[in-house]
Amino acid sequence: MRWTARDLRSLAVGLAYLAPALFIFVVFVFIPLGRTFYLSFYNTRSTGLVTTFNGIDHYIDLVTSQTFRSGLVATGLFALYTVPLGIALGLILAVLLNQRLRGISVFRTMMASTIAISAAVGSLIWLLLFNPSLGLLNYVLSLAGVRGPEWLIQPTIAIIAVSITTIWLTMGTNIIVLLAGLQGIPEEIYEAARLDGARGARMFTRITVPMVSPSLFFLLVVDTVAVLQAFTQIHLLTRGGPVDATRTLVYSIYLDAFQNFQFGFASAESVVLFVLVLILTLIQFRFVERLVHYQ
Amino acid sequence: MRKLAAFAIALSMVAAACGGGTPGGGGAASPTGDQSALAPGKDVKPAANITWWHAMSGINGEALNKIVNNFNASQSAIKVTTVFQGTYDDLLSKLNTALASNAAPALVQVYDIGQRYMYDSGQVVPMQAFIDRDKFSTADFEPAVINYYKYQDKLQSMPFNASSSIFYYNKDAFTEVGLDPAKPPVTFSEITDAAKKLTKKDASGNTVRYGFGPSIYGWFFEQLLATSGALYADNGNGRDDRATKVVYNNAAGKAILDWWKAGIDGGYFYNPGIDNAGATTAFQSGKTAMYLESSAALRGNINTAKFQVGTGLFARPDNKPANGGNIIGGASLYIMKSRPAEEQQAAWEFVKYAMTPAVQAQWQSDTGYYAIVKAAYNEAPAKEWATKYPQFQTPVDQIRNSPQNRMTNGAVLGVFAQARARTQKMIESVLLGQATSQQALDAAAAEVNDAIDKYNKANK
Repeated sequence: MRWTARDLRSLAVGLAYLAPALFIFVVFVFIPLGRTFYLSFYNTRSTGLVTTFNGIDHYIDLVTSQTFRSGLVATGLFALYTVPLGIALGLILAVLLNQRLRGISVFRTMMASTIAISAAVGSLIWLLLFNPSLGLLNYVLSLAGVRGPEWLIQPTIAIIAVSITTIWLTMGTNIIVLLAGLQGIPEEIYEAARLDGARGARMFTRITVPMVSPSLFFLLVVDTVAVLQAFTQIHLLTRGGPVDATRTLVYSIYLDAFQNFQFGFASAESVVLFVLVLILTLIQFRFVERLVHYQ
Repeated sequence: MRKLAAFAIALSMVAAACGGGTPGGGGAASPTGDQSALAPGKDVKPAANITWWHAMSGINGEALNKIVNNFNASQSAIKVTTVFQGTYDDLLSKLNTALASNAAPALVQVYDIGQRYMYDSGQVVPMQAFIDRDKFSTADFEPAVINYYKYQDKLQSMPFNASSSIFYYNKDAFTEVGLDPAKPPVTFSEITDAAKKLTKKDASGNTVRYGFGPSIYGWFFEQLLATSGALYADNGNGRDDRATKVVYNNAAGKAILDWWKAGIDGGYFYNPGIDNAGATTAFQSGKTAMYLESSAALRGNINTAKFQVGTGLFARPDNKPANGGNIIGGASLYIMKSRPAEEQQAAWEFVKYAMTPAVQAQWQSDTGYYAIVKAAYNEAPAKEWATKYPQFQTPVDQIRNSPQNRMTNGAVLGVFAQARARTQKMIESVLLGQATSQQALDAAAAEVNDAIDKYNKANK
């Protein structure tokens, strides 16, 4: 194709319209992103001043470090505990909330209300619930005759505690997205299925799930990325402990940059996390999206 | 893909915090001799407005603002504005970012373990410069406090809020199990014996009260090393020269971990994790009968607990080491070099005000930090406080009775926040049975030494 004067003119007009957005992107995304790449190859003073070129040593230190490997495991476990369960629970609740009952909107509002609660407030609520001395959670369990665990002290339990908090925090969004998806399913499809003799579970797996699959896929991508970036609940509940059990990659970046003031190393970690998220998202689009049924 | 963009923004925030050059870094003055020349001249007129960054929340924050309001009302030349910056760690992170963009305030409150970091930043006007210039007397200051903040005999900062860690116990529980409530245990064995007696189980065998439950706090490990008469780092705890490695992976360190671990395994010590507030809640609610915490928690404990709160000396090994004693904690005030001379001058005027006995006495009675100037104890608020909370005499006596040496002066490290976090992980791994005491000590020391190495190379 040859560029005519007209094409060039419309390109210029298009760019002019894009300019404000591009400007913001360049200043707040691309330049810092480039800077992160740059810093990952350098040593810095504690104040952040770049000192000496370090080659790929930060990356070598990173992949050979025990903390990085345990961080990968923690991140993986965290995503595994949080994303599938959060979406499944969200779907069940959304289906229940999709009933046509008097006063259902009150319940819808209640169930979706965590969307209005900041991660910090939600984490503090759960910190109190998990408290071993005054915690309501173990008190309720003890009424049922169960001796609750020390939620934030045992490494294997702590990651579950953080996951529970995260699921609770994301539940509001999950419910709203899935409810919207469910309400978009035309009644005629259910009617037709009913005429064909479909009932209950079959109706759910054959009609509801495929029809709502675009929403499910959307949540899979969005929740996975959100979990990989989760910070607040970890910072407030466990600070990455006990013994690094909840030290996810993002929390490692925070500790290395803002506790240890190792900006070069933290930048290398950021780059690695960026690449990981990118790969994971591409995989999701390449393979999982095939299962999605678009109307 | 929008989420990716959001992620990139998050990344960019990390990058932005790292970015930017630092104006006027490096070059601390010679540590010996009179430092007057580093301060602005005596005739420089103080600035009308300065900002002070602090990390005091709750009642401590209110008490701090009271000092500032009184100062602002006491004269008309200088107005100090305070900005609360979150925790000590948050404040240091923000200061770091602010220095890069030349937005640091004239006066900042930085915690005890940040002193080497501040010194190496090259962004501080040494407090000694003002002290030398004005012949300001520090003769009446608590030696333990002033020694902590001296590096090679010079003060980089002015101590502001000082505390020490002490032993708290439930007097009612002591009486209940037949222990003398007037005689708190001090040594490792005494604490263990008392903890065994104080531990209580219900009919089904569940522990309803543990004898002893300190949080896993790196500061306590540092204190326990000091009461053991052992060093934390080489080169005289980093005070004779820059520390090159930590040295706690020895018999003293092992004895501390072994004692702690045995108590947990025996079921009479409680592990509240790294959460200091959680350990305090456990003590106040009667879940534990003894624990360790800062003297700054004294008032809260007395006012909240439904039992008689006793205080005692911080724990130490059975054979009292001649060199053992306690290290103070808290924070100090730094005057920043990047601000104009007029602002530095104004900051110094305020610092002098904050060190007057009357202000110190009020600060002590409002917060529970102890007065740094001894004359403050003759002031009315301090006397009232002493009558109301006789337990407060414990931390004061404890710190006055500690011998002054490199062990009790405490360590100075550029990577102290990291080192402290690492010792916490070390203690956790022992208490949870993931490593033996010696393995955990060696692993922690190796990692911290690596960090010290990198820090020293980068911050020569």
